[in-house]
Amino acid sequence: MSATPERLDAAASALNEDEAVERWLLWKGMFSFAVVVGLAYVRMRWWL
Amino acid sequence: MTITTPSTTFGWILSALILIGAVPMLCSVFQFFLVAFHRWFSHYDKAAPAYTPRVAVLVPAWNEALVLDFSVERMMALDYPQDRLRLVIVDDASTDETPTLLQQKQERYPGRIVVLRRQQGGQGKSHTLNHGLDVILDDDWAQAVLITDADVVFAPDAIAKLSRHLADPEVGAVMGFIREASSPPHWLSRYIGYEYATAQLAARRAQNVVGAQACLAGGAQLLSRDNLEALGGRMDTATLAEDTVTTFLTQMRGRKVIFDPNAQCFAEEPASVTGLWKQRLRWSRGNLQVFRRFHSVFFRPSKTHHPGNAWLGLQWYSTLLLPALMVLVSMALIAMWLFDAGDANLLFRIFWSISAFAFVFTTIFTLTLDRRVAARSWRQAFFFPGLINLSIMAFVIAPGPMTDLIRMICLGLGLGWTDQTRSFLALFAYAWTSVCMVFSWLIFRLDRLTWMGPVLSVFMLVVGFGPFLCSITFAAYIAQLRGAATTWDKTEKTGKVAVS
Repeated sequence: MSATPERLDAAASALNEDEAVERWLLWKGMFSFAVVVGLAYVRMRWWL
Repeated sequence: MTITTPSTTFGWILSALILIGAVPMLCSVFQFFLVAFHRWFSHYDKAAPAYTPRVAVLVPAWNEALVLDFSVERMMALDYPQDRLRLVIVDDASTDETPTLLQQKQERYPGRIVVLRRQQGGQGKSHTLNHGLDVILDDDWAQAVLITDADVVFAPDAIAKLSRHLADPEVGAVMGFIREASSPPHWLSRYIGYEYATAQLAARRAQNVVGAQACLAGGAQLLSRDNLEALGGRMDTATLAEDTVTTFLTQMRGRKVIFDPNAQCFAEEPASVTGLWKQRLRWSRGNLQVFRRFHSVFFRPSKTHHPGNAWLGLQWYSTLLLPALMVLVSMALIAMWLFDAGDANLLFRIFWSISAFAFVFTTIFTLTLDRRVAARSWRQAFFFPGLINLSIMAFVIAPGPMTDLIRMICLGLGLGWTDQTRSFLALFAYAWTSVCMVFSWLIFRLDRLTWMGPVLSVFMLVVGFGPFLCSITFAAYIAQLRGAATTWDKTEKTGKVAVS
């Protein structure tokens, strides 16, 4: 495969998609942290 | 719950030791916080998708006939300009069908595959790589060298995704995500698949954020020619972790090492406990050797490089010292119990509460990082610490219901529910952080009995894959202290990789 315009477009598009994957990380982290906070609340509310 | 403070200096020292044991868990939590901010620290804004340097793919091969056929075919079909990709396979004096197979491949893809054969093999991967590097760097064709393993299969766009980062002249090396892809998946490989998600998709993203990588992936590392030449054109042969040495030297010379989680490749991992033990013992011993060589770099921030970053140092110490810390926690808890059972109970609850919340946070975050890992290994993620550790975590999170459950079990087993029973259970829980490593070692020993095979997965479920890895690090301490020979044990591969 050579460096055709189609290939360049595909490569640029792949870069955009990969950046989009990283944009979700903050939300994923916040969701995971929210679960921990919820668990800590349940722990303190019922079983302290 | 009444919180009291230790009444003696000895009590304070024991408390400090127990809390120091929680540092690796806190480090792990902080690491995942860093992952959440990777978007702003990734290298994508400096990557050039149109940049396609001439890449020599260097593959060391010793008796790899079972895996090379598939991996070479996939390499030849990659989505990368054909005239800019060359496969250099170094046959390390194989005694199986590897030479014949390589000759067939050379005839099928003329001019695209170079086969080199060493007359005397068995010296280890670094020597084989150096044989290939001598030839590759001897002419000026290659602008970058991709070092991989014979069994690793790349996603069609993986090399293009790795090489786009080399457009930034500050980057010396790039690595991709090696996905565990044994087919059909073995129970052990599912654990490894999950572990790879934590160790690569999470840890290496966090290392991108702080600007210092701990280790290049041995099976998917792309090095710029400039960097390789600055390193003397050779891989380190004095340790068992040549990839980690390359990582440190690259960064200490002021070049960046980047992890691209979206450049993916697929690898088969050990399907036997013994195979995994040998592989990880080699890695752990390599890490100890690297630590010894570069110990002066840690915790010494520099204007020219980042491996002296405090967080990276903490990560290194946490990983290497984890077994020692777990033994220390057990001993401190038991010693504290002898003096004041109440203080011991409080510290035990603090230690395990930190562990439990860290486990929940990191497990959920890891499973959200990759859908395929989540679908394949969610059960192994849950049982990663082992059933006994999970029970202890459940006890500190829900002490009331768990106490009722344990009482029922004890009464059901006829053990009664006396002070003696409770003391025994407390001591067992205090000792478990170190005793679990002994049980992990027993799992390794039992793997020699072939009839034990089906039962080992149950033992692993109870003891935990995490403690199993911890015990391997402990075994590495012993091997290094004994001065055991640094031989290269090849990991057996069968070529059964599912690529999707």
